[in-house]
Amino acid sequence: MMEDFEPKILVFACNWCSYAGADLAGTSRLQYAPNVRIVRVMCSGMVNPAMILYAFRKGFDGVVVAGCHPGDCHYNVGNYYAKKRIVLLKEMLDFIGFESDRLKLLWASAAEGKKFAEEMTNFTERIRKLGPQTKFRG
Amino acid sequence: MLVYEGDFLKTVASKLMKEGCRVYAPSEIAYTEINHDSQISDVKPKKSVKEFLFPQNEVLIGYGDWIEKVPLNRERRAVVGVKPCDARAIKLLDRIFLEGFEDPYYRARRENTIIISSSCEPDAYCFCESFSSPFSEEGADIFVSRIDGISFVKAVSEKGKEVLKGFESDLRNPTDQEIEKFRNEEERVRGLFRRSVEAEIQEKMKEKFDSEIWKEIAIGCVGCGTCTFLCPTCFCFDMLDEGEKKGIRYRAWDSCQFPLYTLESSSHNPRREKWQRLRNRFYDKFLYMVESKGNVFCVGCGRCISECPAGVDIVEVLQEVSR
Amino acid sequence: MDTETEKIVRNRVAELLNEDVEAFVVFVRKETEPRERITVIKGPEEAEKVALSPLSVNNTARVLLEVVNNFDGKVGVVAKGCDSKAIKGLISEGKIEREKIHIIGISCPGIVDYRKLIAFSPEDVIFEDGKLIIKPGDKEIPLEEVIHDNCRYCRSPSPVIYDEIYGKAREPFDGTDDDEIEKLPADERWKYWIDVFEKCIRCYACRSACPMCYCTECLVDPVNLAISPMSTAEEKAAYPRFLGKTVTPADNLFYHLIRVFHHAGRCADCGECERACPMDIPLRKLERKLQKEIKEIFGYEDEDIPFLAKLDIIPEGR
Repeated sequence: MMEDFEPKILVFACNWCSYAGADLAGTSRLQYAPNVRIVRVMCSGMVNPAMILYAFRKGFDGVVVAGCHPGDCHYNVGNYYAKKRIVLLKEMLDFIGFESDRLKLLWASAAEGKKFAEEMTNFTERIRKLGPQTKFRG
Repeated sequence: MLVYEGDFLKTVASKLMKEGCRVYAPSEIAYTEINHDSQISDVKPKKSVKEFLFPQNEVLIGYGDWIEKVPLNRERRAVVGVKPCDARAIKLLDRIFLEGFEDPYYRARRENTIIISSSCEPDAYCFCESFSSPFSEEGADIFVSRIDGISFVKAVSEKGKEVLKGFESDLRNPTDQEIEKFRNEEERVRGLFRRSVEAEIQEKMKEKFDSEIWKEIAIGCVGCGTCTFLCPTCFCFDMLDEGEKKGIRYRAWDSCQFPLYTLESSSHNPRREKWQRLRNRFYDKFLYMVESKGNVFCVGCGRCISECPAGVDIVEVLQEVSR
Repeated sequence: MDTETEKIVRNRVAELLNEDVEAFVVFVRKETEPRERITVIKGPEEAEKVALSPLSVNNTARVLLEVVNNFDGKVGVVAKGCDSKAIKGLISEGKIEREKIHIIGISCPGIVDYRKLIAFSPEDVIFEDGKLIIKPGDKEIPLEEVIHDNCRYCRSPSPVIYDEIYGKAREPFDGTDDDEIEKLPADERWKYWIDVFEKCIRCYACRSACPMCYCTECLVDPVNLAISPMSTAEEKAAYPRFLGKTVTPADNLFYHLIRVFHHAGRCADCGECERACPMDIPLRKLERKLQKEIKEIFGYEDEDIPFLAKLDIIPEGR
């Protein structure tokens, strides 16, 4: 039915851990879904719910916020803020009837290139099953 | 003035619907679309009728490689049961959008929207009697007044005469008794008003510009802009672009009560304080527009009083000024 | 908030204005209709205008925030339960100094929803024993009939911060606050919210009325910019804009969701947003859901430090 639907995924990757992890996936020549567009931010804690909703408004089908593991943040507590925000945002998105599965929070360290690649591919498949996002699209 | 036996609003709404015209009637929130003449009601909607001629969002141009013109909205629509205050406001808005520079978007909508107003009775907040009357026909294309089972109908404009052409056999001249009844009803309704303001307040306003009363009144004011958005005669707008390489330029309602309304590019803001913006609203409507266009830009609908969350009351303010 | 408490408060305000308090933020009755508004009085002779009843609906914390820095001396304020929650929040965020204000706390029985009261065409209203007496006609109505819906969910009708306290509070709400909307499937929920936000005209009244929305630069308003004479043209042109002024239901939902998000853990539950809305949109539903989730998932409610500052709470399994 939707075999030719290619989801568009936006990833906010933190500079110190997950972006380095994505880089490692690249240098190790690991294949993962090409639908993923990565935006480098300094810390996952700077990702603001308005940015995530803006991504949906502009037509993205899925958004991933990737940061360091708890306790490993370069700025000590940034990923705690990210966790709080994403957890609450998912609850509120469910409340208003928007599929909160389209938003994912991922902890990936700089050495986990393989994990990053796998998570991206799995997430893309999940979004492919959910179909294109039409609710917030402007 | 002609007479129709029965409820003319329902009849004309049905006929226009059959002709393929989209018909709107008052509901609690706004003038909403109806598909059956039984849905016409008498309430005063919160949103005024200005959104039919001057909508909240209007796309002006599109841009990409070059500028793309957007088609003007020439859809044939009719609003039935418009309050006389809202209809009079259209006449005032015509002086802004059609005199001097003619706004093509406004003109296209104005030519294709039929306004059928209906007389009404005041509620606790109305004060239109200070400027005209609830039986006024200004601004409408057809004016209808339903009294005791018959309707008094008057075609006010050329467009109205066109619409009434199909009803020649149903409309007759009024008897002297009926004219008497009409006049009595008008007298009775005019006596029901609980509020009134002095429209000739311009000299006193000039004296009170630097008075301390504006700071006092502004303490409770929230600066929300509800009064300007619901006012039938407020017309300020802002222009924004959306889209970087390809997009649209649109205009949206703006409010003089917003803090950055007068923010200039140099970062100077002549109305930084809330009391300055509050004062500006009253002065604009009752003094500056009189000086530039000759009309007070208020029709007495009372929406700014009933919807204000802080209890700022235009009637009290003007009483304070005229003291 | 009966006439007894009103008299006591009037006397206290006059006394305090004679002592070290320079100005007082109080409620006064309007002349043309039975409604109250907030004003600031400076002299003890003006204290006889002070009114206090279930018609005192607005939030004095918002006015206090605006006027407190206009005076060098102490500023007094009359605060109900919800108002005092807002004042406590503003103090913990550093917007008001505790020593500079004097709070007369009022334990609140609930306030009137003016839209329900107007159906009775009142010309004057008096309160006695938990009932309203409406003139003309001396019609008696119990307060519960015209009370604002938000007051039924109030958890802190008694002030949480005060210098002196008067009045008798209603029973605080301690049930579960589950909305029926949560039982519907996702698509119906979306349809419900889109229908609700079809009415929104983006007048920003909710934001202006809220005591906790004091940012001069709002994230979801495209024209609120903090610029100085030194701002370059590139800076102004490249200003991040998440939302324009397009008034569509999805964009309205965006605006309201982000606004409510910025009140996570800070909301005073005063209901001003819903009262200010000219289109009668049920804004409190969104806000209450967020506060409920914060309490259930993170266990945070009404503490002295802001919600984001508490770092020891991180939920597992989500």
